Amino acid sequence: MSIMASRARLALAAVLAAGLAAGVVAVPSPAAPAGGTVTIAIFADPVTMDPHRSNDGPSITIWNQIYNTLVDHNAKGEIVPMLAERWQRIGDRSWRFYLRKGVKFHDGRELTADDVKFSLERLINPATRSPAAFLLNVLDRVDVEGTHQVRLVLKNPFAPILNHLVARPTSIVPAALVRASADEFARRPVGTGPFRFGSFVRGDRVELVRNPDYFAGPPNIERLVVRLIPEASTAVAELESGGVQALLTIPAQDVARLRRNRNLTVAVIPSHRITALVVNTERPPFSDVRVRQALSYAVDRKGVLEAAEAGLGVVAAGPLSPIVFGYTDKVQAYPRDLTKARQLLSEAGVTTPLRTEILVWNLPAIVRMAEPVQAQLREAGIEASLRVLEFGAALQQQYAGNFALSTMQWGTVTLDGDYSMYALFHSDSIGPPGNWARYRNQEVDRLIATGRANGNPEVRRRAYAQALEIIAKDAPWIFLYHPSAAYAMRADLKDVVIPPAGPTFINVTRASLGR
Amino acid sequence: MTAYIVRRLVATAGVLFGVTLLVFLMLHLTPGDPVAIMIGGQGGYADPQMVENLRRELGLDRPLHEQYLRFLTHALRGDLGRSIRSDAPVIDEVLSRFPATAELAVAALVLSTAIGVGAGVTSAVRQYSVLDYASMVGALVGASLPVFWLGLMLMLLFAVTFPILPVSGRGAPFTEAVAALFQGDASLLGRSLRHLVLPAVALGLSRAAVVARLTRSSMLEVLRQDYVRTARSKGLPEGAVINRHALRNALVPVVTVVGLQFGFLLGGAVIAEAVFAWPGVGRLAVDSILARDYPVVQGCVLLVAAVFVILNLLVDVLYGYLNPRIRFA
Repeated sequence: MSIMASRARLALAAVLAAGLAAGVVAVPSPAAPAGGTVTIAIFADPVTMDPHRSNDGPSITIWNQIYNTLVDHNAKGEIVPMLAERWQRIGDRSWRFYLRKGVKFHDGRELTADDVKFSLERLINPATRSPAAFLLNVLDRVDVEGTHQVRLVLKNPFAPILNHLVARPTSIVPAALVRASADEFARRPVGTGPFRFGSFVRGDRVELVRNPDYFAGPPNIERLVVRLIPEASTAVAELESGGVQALLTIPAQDVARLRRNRNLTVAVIPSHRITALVVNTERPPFSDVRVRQALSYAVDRKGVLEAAEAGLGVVAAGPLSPIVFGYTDKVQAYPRDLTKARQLLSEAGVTTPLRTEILVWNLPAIVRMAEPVQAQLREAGIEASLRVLEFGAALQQQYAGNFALSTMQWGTVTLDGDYSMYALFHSDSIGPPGNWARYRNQEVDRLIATGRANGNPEVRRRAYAQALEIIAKDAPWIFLYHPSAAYAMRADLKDVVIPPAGPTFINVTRASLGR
Repeated sequence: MTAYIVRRLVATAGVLFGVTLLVFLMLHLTPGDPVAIMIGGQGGYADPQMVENLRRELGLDRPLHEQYLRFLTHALRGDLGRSIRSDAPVIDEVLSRFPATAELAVAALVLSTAIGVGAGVTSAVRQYSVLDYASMVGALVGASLPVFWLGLMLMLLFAVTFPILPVSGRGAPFTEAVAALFQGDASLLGRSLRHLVLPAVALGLSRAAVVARLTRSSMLEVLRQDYVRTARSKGLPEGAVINRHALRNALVPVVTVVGLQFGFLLGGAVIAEAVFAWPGVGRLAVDSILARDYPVVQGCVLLVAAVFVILNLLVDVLYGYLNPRIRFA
């Protein structure tokens, strides 16, 4: 390792440590000189500047700069105050939030409880047509109890509500402006966040300007430019030539090469994502648990991770990655054991070769994952052909259960296990909501319900651990790996905070450009 | 002439109607549902009640013919509807992106025509010379290079290894840059042009090859005509023979192709736009197709089709000026 590389790594460690110390809520520091423009690149166009109208990553990156939510995650994934300075749980179904006083929207108006009520109820109103309304579909109503006090009344007890209120589609918008014209608001959005909206040239860039009145201390930099560069090679070329200072996603294959560039700092951090194959548990012979276990024994997870993600990630034993609440290290990933796999197949009365098909999304990383899996299954006597379909078309087949095996990539964006466990493995979610395996297990349903409703974190944790153990045994999915998130920055860009939810949530309020 | 143009314009309306119908049917026959993609593609929990609400709000639960008629009646009033994904008016989305594509396509067209006609004439006049072979081999290579690869190579060479041009992006809208020039500020134009060079070359080079080959063969044919011999025998200098007598006639088929090329460039710009992060309508169309954002796809196709049809009309009118023997009744 060269001295420069190790220095770059030290610098990165310092950045991460600073992030840990500061949490995601920025603490004003007298550090670097103010000013300058930071340009970062993302891969797709933000769909809209209106946080209640989408749930896509690029939009979230922008909203994250313009708006705030009631609460946020710190660097350890714990809930910390944001627009709400404190909160209390009242009974089973209601939460009281005390808003921070003196928080100003970019137009100078003060944030009040009315804005909170308006924003959260707007998100779940069918007329708003938000694809993220599910985040708060447990919300019955918001009561205004004072200028700076609201009460969220839920339909059912819902333990992970705070994690859902971290999600950016629950951002608080100024009620008066949106009421006046939602279209105009989407064109010139106004929030409480560290940056004010400057301009949005579709397909090209979003420009944001420092908010000098930001309640957590104004950003150091004057302008934040988010370039929209769809082609990964182009984005990497821009980073190498200094045209952009940070790239929020870099292809796993480029990590090793970019690490050798002394002008760059490359970081690989654990993510909340899972890459897997979903097994249709209603379709014979996969309705037999032994056949599903055979599939799980047949796969060499490490090898697939190497092929698909250049080894960047950790092998998975379940849907929740180690950074997600509810993860347990008690459940171990299936080791590759071809003898065991063949034995299970013959016990189940399956004659080999077993011919089947894998439905594959036509995304490069997914195809790179499916190919080695196909080869490994063959060694266990399972002849799977690959049916590569465009994402939208594949989704339709998956919703309808028209597949035997199918690729899957999912993220627990709230960092709370409920988000995945309920959607993916509860029998209420069979079909489109997410349980494409069409998996039913009453005990798992009960444990997931406990995790959802019980207010005691320890009880929840135990419930998830038990559920994960049963799911591993029932093998409705072939859990493969939790891919890492890789991003890169110019070495002169300092003090950028990337929270555990990932680079999508990049925080540059403390960032500065220096030597 | 006027009657001819009016007739063609009426036919244009018919063509555009056909295009909308075809695109509408093709989109709706493609498997995949915009609501499912919107929720599933963003990694969310697709609550069945919510999906149903969304579909109803968007009118996707109505029968197909009803959806099409609604689109058509709104379109006739100049309202192309709203994007399913962003809820923004389609007309805003499309028109905000079209100038960038037009700018790139025009630049590529000018470049390809200049290079193509130049190379074609040279090789015809100096047939079987080294220059002829060199241009034709160049044309073959140019026509064979994929825009994607060529774009990346140009970028690596001229923006990364020798950083003389920007890697990607659009510096400034060309029209704004020209307006600024008139106010005495040339810097914007410089920025605009510098950003335009690489994508325009990447996109235009393969077209230049086509134009060059066509110009050459058309020119060779004309040079064998009697009137060219007459022009030479009455002692005109060779330059005048080539430029005034031969080239003008040889250009008739070339103009046809160049007109069609523009349509090709508008469509082909998709790839150059992706490689160079150029904020054009091609990328919008691709993103919208993947998201099954029906109204936006319709808007993009309608606009490109309209431009294409009108350009072809202009080309037909142009024939008359190039070759007075061609007249329209």
